[in-house]
Amino acid sequence: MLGFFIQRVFQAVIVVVVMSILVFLGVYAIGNPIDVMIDPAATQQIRDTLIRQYGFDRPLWEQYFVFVGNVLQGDFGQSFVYRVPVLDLIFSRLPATFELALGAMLIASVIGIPLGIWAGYRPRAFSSKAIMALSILGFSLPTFWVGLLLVMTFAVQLHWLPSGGRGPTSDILGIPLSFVTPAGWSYIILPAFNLALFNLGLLIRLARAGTLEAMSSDYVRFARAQGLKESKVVGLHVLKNIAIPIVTVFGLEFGSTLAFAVVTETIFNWPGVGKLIIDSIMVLDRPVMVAYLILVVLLFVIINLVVDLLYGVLDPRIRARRAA
Amino acid sequence: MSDVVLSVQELQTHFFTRNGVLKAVDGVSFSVRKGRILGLVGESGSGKSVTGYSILRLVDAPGKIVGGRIVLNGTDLAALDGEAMRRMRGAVVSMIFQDPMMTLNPVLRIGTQMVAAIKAHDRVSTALARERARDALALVGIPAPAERLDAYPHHLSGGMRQRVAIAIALLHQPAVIIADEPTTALDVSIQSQILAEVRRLADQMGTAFVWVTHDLAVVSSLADDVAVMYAGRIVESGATEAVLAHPRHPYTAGLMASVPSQAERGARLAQIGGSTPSLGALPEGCAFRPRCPRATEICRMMPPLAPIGDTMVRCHHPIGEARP
Ligand SMILES: Nc1ncnc2c1ncn2[C@@H]1O[C@H](COP(=O)(O)OP(=O)(O)OP(=O)(O)O)[C@@H](O)[C@H]1O
Ligand code: SF4
Ligand SMILES: [Mg+2]
Repeated sequence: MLGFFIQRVFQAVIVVVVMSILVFLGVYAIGNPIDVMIDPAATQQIRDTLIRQYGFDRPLWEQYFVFVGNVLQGDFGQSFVYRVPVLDLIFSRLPATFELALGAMLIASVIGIPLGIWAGYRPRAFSSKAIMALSILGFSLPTFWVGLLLVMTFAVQLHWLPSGGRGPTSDILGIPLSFVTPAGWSYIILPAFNLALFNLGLLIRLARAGTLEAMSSDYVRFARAQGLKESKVVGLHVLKNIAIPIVTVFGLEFGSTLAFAVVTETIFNWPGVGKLIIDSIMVLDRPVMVAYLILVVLLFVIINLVVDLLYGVLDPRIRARRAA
Repeated sequence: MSDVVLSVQELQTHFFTRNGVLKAVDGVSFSVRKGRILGLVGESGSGKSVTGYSILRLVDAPGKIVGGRIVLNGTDLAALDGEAMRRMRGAVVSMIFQDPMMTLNPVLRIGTQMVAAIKAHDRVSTALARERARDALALVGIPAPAERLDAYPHHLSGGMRQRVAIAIALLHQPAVIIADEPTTALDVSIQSQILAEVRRLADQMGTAFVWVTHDLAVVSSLADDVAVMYAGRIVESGATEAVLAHPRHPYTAGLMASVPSQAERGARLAQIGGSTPSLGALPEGCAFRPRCPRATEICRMMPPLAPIGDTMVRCHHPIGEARP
């Protein structure tokens, strides 16, 4: 197990290094930030001073190593625009995105897993076919379109919910969160639902496929032959078997939900990291972009690692194989 | 006889497929007495498993029991509602399956599965249920039963798994256990150990077994009575010695002639000339007619199951009687 763990961590480090190079090259390629930063009327002299000050006159590889050196000391540089350390900037926006993504995953699981299990348990029922149609919609409708529709319906037409923004937050352990107050709820529910749609579709399909397979297995027939109630057959035998793919997807999708909350945050004007990164791209705020992308890579790598380790906890066969 | 525990009468289970109705079980009758073992033999596809599933009312769609009675300790199972039938399963009639790899849930501990089986019928504490589970494992000759409770199925050998399955089936001391080729997948020495164990359990606990098998050697060493199935019907039944010493039905005689040698025991029965008819295209009259060396014109009419000596035979020209 320890050997497995070390091996996985080593792989993770390699992935992060490679990705950091790619990110650095990619962002470097999109243009010169100096033009954005200073008054177009500034003299060439001021330009040169600034270029030297930020180190843009150095060879690319040197810039990269300076950057990596700083990062290893926890310094991702300063935002060109906000003039504050990038990490502080991102972390100040992170709770909003985190809460939104978590809310979305929660909605997706609480609705999607039971629906998927039902659809797999009664595959011929009309209700199951309706559920599958819903999951296809969740997959294929563009997020921004559904988002706009939600705003039009619930905010503009019905006036039930606010159309955007985060509304009031309350601090828990120093972190500002929305779900604490009813007013906060009213702000988060629409964007969270919007962000949940894709995962909702995914979890329905996953739970259905797993349930279908388990229901025709010998161990389910055997469990029924012992007189187990259907609720127990599903709640114990089926659920434990579909838990593995669901946890995997939950983990991996949580990462992408965090990273790609961009669209939803933009539509609902949600003050999260996604909105920050869109704004930063508009003005070529290079340190923010680089730091954001590298943090996303880190996030994915860590989530992958955790999911891999969780696999072993959930599936005793995998645990045995790794121990061997 | 008064100590009959299970009496199946004119059981009919049909599959309503897109290509028509498949009469997988079409008028099967047999009975089993307390503590006795009935061997149910026949070629692949003759309807042995479907008969077993029907007795527990565990036939999956598109299959349906369309006729007959399944009288167990005086109760007609075919007439019970779903919840009443659930109470019978595991408590009064239980079933074990062919593949010991698949009958136990791979991701649940043995103890968890056994406790669930106990609690399906008895309101007991988990601690007490575990004690009963441990005793049941000891009963079927599993060493160190207390430790086995915490094991996962993949920790055990195939033979051990099948013993666990038998222990689970025995938890509530049912009157009848349907065993669907439970030793076919095991090697010969393990198989004979388990058969000896089953014989002992039947004698000591008075449990009756319906033992489904391809293997006439198993029948002769284990079963008190034998019923031979062909294309969804019983064609011959009676005491094992009587039937095996003097097979009356041409199909039974063909089966015996093709008994594999000692070295191939457990292998599938060699085919009698011709092949098993497809249920969708059975010949009129006796289903064995196209393969039967004794067939005549009258065999175009379905022969009744009639007594000859101590055995019941479904044939117009049973062996031992002159052909007209
Ligand atoms: N799910 C199903 N759908 C349609 N037909 C089925 C289904 N299950 C069984 N049958 C039909 O029932 C017949 C009997 O099947 P069954 O499994 O009882 O045979 P068996 O005697 O147990 O054979 P084997 O020795 O191979 O286990 C099959 O030939 C098949 O035509
Ligand atoms: S009834 Fe006729 S065809 Fe059928 S087994 Fe007997 S002799 Fe053969
Ligand atoms: Mg079978």
